[in-house]
Amino acid sequence: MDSPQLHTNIRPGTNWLFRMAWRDSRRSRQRLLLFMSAIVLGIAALVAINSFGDNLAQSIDDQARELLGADLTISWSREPSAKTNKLLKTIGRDRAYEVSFPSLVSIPKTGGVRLAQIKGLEGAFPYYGTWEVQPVSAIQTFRKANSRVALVDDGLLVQLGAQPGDSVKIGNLNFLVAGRVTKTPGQAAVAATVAPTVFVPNQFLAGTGLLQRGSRIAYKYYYQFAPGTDVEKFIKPLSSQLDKEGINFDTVAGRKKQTGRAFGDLTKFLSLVAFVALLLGCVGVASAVQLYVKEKIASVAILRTLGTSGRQAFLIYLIQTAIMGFLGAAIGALILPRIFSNFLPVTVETSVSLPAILGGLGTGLLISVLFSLLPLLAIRNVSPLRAIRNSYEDDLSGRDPLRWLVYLLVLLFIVGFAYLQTKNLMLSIGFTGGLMLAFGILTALGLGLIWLVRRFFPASWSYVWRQSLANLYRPNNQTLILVTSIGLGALPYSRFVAGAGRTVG
Amino acid sequence: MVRSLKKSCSSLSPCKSPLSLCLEQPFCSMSILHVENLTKTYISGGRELTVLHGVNFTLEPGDTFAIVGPSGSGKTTLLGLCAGLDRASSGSVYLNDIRLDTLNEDQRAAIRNQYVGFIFQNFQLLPTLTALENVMVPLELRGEKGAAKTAQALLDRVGLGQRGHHYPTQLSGGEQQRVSLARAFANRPKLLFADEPTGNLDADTSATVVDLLFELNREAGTTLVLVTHDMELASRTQRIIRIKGGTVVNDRMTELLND
Repeated sequence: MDSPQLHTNIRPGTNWLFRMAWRDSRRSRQRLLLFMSAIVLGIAALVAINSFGDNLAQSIDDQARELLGADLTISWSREPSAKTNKLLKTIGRDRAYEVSFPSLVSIPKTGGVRLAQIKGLEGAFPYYGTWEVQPVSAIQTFRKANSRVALVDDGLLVQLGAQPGDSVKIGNLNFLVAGRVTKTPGQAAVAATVAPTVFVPNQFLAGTGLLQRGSRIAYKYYYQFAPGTDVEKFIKPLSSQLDKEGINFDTVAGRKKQTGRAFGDLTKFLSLVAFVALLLGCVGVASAVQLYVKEKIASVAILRTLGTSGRQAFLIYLIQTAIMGFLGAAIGALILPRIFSNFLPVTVETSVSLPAILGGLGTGLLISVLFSLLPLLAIRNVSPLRAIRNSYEDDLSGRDPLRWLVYLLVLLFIVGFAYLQTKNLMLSIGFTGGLMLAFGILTALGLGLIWLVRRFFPASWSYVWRQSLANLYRPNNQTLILVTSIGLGALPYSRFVAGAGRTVG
Repeated sequence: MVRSLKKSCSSLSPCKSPLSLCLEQPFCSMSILHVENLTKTYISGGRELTVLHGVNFTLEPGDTFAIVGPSGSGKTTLLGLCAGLDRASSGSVYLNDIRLDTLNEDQRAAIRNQYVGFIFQNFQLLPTLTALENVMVPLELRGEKGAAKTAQALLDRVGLGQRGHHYPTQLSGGEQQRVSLARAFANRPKLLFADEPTGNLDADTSATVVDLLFELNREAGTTLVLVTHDMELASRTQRIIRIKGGTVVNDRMTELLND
């Protein structure tokens, strides 16, 4: 008699796994869409911010000179020495002069009063970039400086209920509003909402009576040089002299670096915020997959009785979650960073940043796989006995050494990703530690809530209240997930609000 | 001699026929299923609960065998152990001469795919697969080509050739059980386990399904192990083993019962 063979090496191909993943998803597409949505927004935020960073760097390079509106600016608040004063008046091929200070302005017609930045201008500012004024002819009118005319920020006119043709009172003088300013080179649109500007010809400033002690006046020269001039090289020998007198200067290269650094820091911060949003998505992924797996236990048990190995069953569902995660990341990566354009002093071309999109796709896929691994590992332990005995309870809690490996991978992912965004290892470790601490506190809060409700259950309350509260601790409750998700989500928001509050205060 | 050997093998526990001793096998090597001193104990509420005590029997290829007993007697537990769905606390199960209790879960799964077919009380069709796809699964797991064609032929055989594209929820209970039958025979099993195959069906449908089951079983020459409460159904098999409290209280050929 031939010995029976144990053909454990008979395996269906990978095609079968994909086919089963597709077949099994038929009744579950809505739930898988929910899981996908957890990824979409987080990846969208991440790709938007990374694309924004890439596009910003490019735009800063392309629009460098418009950042200053000149080749060189020199500014001071204390009167320079006579020698330096003389020097300042001779630098460059052409120059414009500005005197600025904050002051209240009012519209006599409407009675509206607002704090604004008054800028007295003399010369052909801006030398680079477009000064967007409506009507365009108002700029020429302004530069002729024959009469008392003013160019006013659009936002300010709207707030005061005024328009071109009305008068604006600055100190002792009234000025005719010749035009509304919608964009000034070197100034972000958002700055105009915080400190709107009123431009007046410099020669009339003295007549306002506001150029006096205590007015916090700043002076600035804008210089245009002949094409090809190396401004960095020109200003270097003068820098110590200017520095001694507390006079600041700014070149295009310097402003480029500064703007890039400032927005680079902003990008890093926003990246971490987007990462927190993404991590919330990860929590959502893990939760959605855990519920999904519970629903699929019966099907897995049937497959096991038919001869599917634990590994095959695990791979079927891993393929499902990976594909959904990839689709979610793809959808998220196509959302462009339009919302950030108003915060910039340059016009950022919101073109598709391929590195950011590829990074988003890769991150989305990695996250969906990594965070669904924990609940999916339990599938390997589903016993085929469940097919003949409904009451059989699998040990899905996970006394599984592989779970510790997954926890470690998750931790490494968080540190690694934070490092990629910030390029600072200590910051990354600190960020991860802070996140774990926040997570731990929120988990403790959730567990505490469950304990409290059980311990002090209000048995005398109405049916609706009792059922609602009981659902906080009943099997399959989502209390912990919700407390941690909402808590983590509120964290960056509260930081923004607290930070803004301190800034305004 | 074969007939007498069959009888002696089936009535001894463990089988100690001269042929098996001669071949130095622990049991009769003609058997398709050999259960030796099988015991299963669970831990429940911190206490040990023994649901099977020292069960012994041997089946030969082509036998039809019923396990009967009251609820909680251990029938389903015995079926699970014989099919390799679970591992015994002590004792051994040899399925087609392969000792199951030394194998891990995945190895036992491979055994099931190769040698075993299942029919469940509540049909246990995969709800997201069509009837055809349900029948194809055992074939696909074996990496067999032409799975769709074979599955379609099986559905034709059970009278559901036109319903292959329907999902289980679109089929009646009897139709689902017939799909389950087709699936059970898809991998040409040597051993077919049926756990209360008519438990969820009405009398007329049960009769149809049972007739089909025995017909297919006869055509395929499969060894049938049937767990049932229904003595009428059990009497259609060649041998009935009665279990009570986890112990075999009676093991007789049905021709003896009828006599």
